[in-house]
Amino acid sequence: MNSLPAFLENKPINARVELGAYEYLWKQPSSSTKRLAELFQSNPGSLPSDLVDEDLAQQAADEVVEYFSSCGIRRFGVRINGARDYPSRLRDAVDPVEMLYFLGSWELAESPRRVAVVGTRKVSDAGAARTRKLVRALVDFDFTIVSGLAQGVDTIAHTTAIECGGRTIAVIGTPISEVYPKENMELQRCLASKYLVVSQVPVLRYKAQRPHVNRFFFPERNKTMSALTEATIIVEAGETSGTLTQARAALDQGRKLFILESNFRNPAITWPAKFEKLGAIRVREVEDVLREFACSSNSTQ
Amino acid sequence: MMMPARLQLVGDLERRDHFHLPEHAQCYFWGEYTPYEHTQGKKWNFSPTNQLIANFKKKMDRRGFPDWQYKIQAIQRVARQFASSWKWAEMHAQNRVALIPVPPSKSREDPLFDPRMTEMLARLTTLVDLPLDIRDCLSFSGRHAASHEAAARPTPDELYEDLTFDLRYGDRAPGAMLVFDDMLTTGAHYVAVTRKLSEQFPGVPVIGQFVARRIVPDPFADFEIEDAL
Repeated sequence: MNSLPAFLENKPINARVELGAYEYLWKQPSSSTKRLAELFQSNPGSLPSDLVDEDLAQQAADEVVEYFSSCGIRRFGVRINGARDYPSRLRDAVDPVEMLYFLGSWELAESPRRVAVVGTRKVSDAGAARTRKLVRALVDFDFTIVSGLAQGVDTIAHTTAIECGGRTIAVIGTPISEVYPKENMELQRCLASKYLVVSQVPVLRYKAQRPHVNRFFFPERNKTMSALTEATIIVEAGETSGTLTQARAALDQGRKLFILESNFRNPAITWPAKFEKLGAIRVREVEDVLREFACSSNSTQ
Repeated sequence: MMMPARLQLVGDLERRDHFHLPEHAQCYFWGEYTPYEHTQGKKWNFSPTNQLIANFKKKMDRRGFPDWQYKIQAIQRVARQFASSWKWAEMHAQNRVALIPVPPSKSREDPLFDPRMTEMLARLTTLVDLPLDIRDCLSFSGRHAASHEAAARPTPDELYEDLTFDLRYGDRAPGAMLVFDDMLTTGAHYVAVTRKLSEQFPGVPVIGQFVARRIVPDPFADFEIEDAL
């Protein structure tokens, strides 16, 4: 028996056990993003496996791995708090997530000028045109386009980035094994195999509960998308749009928030003026975004 | 208490990306390296781990150029991490552990032979302030180019055949061996090296310690693709 592991300074991360423990914690009926964040806050320095019996964690992990495999996912990645590649900027969220699943190239999560381009599912023709124009310009300036793979603005943002030869990341509100909306199945597969798809959504909890409950993962996803990016740009959104969750999160997390000028001219909505007062930046032309990133530099050596 | 920086275990989830690695191998890694040569030909090399590996493996012909400082910094960074990863004083006192670098593929006479891992271990020794037993005892002939550059990867058997053990390091059997390498790819080098070491020191336990493991980004790719990565 090799006794050397006893001399490790800290418990090493076994990704399979950690994802099982994370999933097990999420299976508990009272769990929510907020409650789990509180649990880890009250157990600082702990891994999920420190809080769950290892057999239970292994069982949950087996279930997850088998399910992913049945969905055609041969490989997936995880980012666990405490591992080198866990993005520390996730800790800027009010209720930070301890673990993320991902498919594809993690390099994009660390690429320069990551900006979320988000907005309504029911985008107007003008909003769609603005999304395309904005994304094309941002790709030209080497931005990485992050969005949520929803209908409307999100889908246009991803597809335009791909068409222009840019980089794009989807932060989705379902587990990595699920697709919503269904019509984006091919797009999600393309993003997973050639770009990057990220999800914080626990697969066992998601499978066990009804869709109307699972929709609460979408605003949680928006907070994580903001935390992973340097800025959020809202193209078009209604007064009660879920996009506004991301707007609030961006400001809470110290991220830049941009709002396209057209929103300020819409008399039916009041949120643009409200967020501008809180620090959001009005975008009349793409230069308004570029100006704010002028000091950013690529750390490649 | 802050979350400490932890090593990661090569477990069931990871082992499938390193198909030469036997199930009983005990290996740890620090970061995950994402190859970018295979992602549409775009040079996606942004993460701290990819940057660290790029700098750590910077070729010897860059010595004397301004970017050489990044290699030195990377060697120091890796040494600091490994210094804080293990209880060196206890392990040194109780286990007579030997630290063994996996040698570069080039011959020691080649001007591009890169002793980065041995330099990292020397730095580690200074950091922990212990007379650690570093045994730079293995060499390749140079017949096999660096695996990530080669069209066809050498097999563990081919690598084993190409390895030589410097008998000056063969006198005292250590209590355990920590084998250091920068990147875990298919696991072929680790298998060849541990086989060679076990001939010299039969029954001595071995642990693999990697700066990073190479992941395979495409979730739907056949496992055979690993052979080309």
